[in-house]
Amino acid sequence: MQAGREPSNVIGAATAGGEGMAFEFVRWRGGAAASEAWTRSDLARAVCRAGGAIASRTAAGDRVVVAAPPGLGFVAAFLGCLAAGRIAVPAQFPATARARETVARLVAVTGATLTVTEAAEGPEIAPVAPAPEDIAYLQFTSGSTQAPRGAVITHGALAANLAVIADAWVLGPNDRGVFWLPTFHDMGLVGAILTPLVCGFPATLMHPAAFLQRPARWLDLIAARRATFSGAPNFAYDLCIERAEIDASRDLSSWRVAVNGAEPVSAATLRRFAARFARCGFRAEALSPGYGLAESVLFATARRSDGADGHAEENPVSCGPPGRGVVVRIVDETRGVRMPDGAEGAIWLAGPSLASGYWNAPEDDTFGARLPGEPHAFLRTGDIGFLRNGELHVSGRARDTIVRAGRKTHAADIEHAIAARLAGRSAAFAAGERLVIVHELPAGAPAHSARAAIADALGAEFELVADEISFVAPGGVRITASGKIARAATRAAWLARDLTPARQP
Amino acid sequence: MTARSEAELRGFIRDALARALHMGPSEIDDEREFDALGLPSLDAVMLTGELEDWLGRPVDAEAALEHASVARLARHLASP
Repeated sequence: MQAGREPSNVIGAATAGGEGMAFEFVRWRGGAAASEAWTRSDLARAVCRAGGAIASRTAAGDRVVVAAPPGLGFVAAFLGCLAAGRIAVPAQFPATARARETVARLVAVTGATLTVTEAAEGPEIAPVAPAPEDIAYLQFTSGSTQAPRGAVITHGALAANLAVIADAWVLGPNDRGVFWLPTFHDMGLVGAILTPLVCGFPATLMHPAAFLQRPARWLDLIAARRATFSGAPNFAYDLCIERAEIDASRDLSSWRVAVNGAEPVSAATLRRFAARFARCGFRAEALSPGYGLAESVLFATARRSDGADGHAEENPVSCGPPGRGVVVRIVDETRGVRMPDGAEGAIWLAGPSLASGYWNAPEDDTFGARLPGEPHAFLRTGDIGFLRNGELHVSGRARDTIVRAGRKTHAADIEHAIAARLAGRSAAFAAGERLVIVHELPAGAPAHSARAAIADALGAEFELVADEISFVAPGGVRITASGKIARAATRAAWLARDLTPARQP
Repeated sequence: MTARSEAELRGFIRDALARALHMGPSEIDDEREFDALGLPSLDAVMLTGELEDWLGRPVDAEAALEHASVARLARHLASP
């Protein structure tokens, strides 16, 4: 698309119709792939019918949890919800007990009046024409069980971010997308579904489980569809390096934008992926590390695949310059001032594509931060980094957040879940790539049952596995003057091996 | 394609879990659900890929989510 042109809005693109292919979903049954595809006219019909079914059971402005499984049904249900003028709440399909709990929690938090797990067909509706400030959807991000936070995404912010994405990677009708990402996460929803939709190119989707089972399927599908645009969190590139065999007949030369985002980007992963798949025609300059978060819809910064080489691929890697209209500031949060170029500090964002806050959390101070002499209202991302030559380098996630497989979990929630199962104080933190739990084991308590309880807390509530569980004597977990867990101090003591091990019976 | 007994299947699944969870195979309770053991669903799905390679036949990607313990998954895979 031409730089400077706004893409048509999402509802318009979803209901315009046309002969070209809009979406395709590929599944594997008994080892063989089967595909279902929709033209843009098929999509428009499905969206207007799904919208009719939703509209007949809800009122304008109602929240609707969209929990259809990955596939064309999710696309139709989500877009139908928007076309009907309802606020969508993307969620995972309630297949397991845990997923059912998550959906129930989202219903409770948003006061949703309807949960859809398939694209039901109702009478075709005429799509609404929302104002920019109308809410399109609520994006819930963290694995938080205590207080799930839903970023409020307006139609205006969504359109603005989609325009930034199209501009950054020069996306247009000649592109082709292939994605396996979960549809209810920001990267899967905005990057894999809405970006192709508004930029006017077809997207081939597959189930995340199909990728995880055989990572090579993702690469094979990119080759088969001659895809130009695809991406995933860093761990997916690692999985391909480890588990996708080299097949010289798999031609990846069409892949010009290989986004790596949603979790910390590893220089080693970039180097190894480029080296390993060069034999399949993969071009290193296609690698596009990016930075963004659901609170800015999806995209904030990314490297452009303009063929320019010269990134040394050292940690922390460059996540490229800010997208057009995105303001990035590195801030000393204790003094509330900007840091000079090259200095590390808190990453703040501003611009037209920010969420307008968290749902029902007016007291939250994540949004609306100010800097002296600047007109913008900033989003405090909670991440740490620096700018060098105008490019953002993310050097650390906020200490209180654990990021795994693209999902954020608040350390406080992990500690809370452990406390519900086990006596004694815990601190959860990340040390490099490792998730560490330090737990104060009461004297004489058996470590093996405590270990099982911690594993249960992490697994059952957050789908996390601790890389290290350290049992320390009471007093080992540091606390602040007000009795809160001092994670940074505990982490420093752990790194310095300055903790007394718990006495074993 | 090799036919495997339920006991062989249990052994393979237990070893794979032990690797994913940084635990010893003997620490894994065959009756306990994967997520209660701390296994992310991500790894449960990846396990089906390893099982396909070992068994030499397709295994449904969601088998380990639907039959979510060593004992149940082994029984499911051993049944004709």
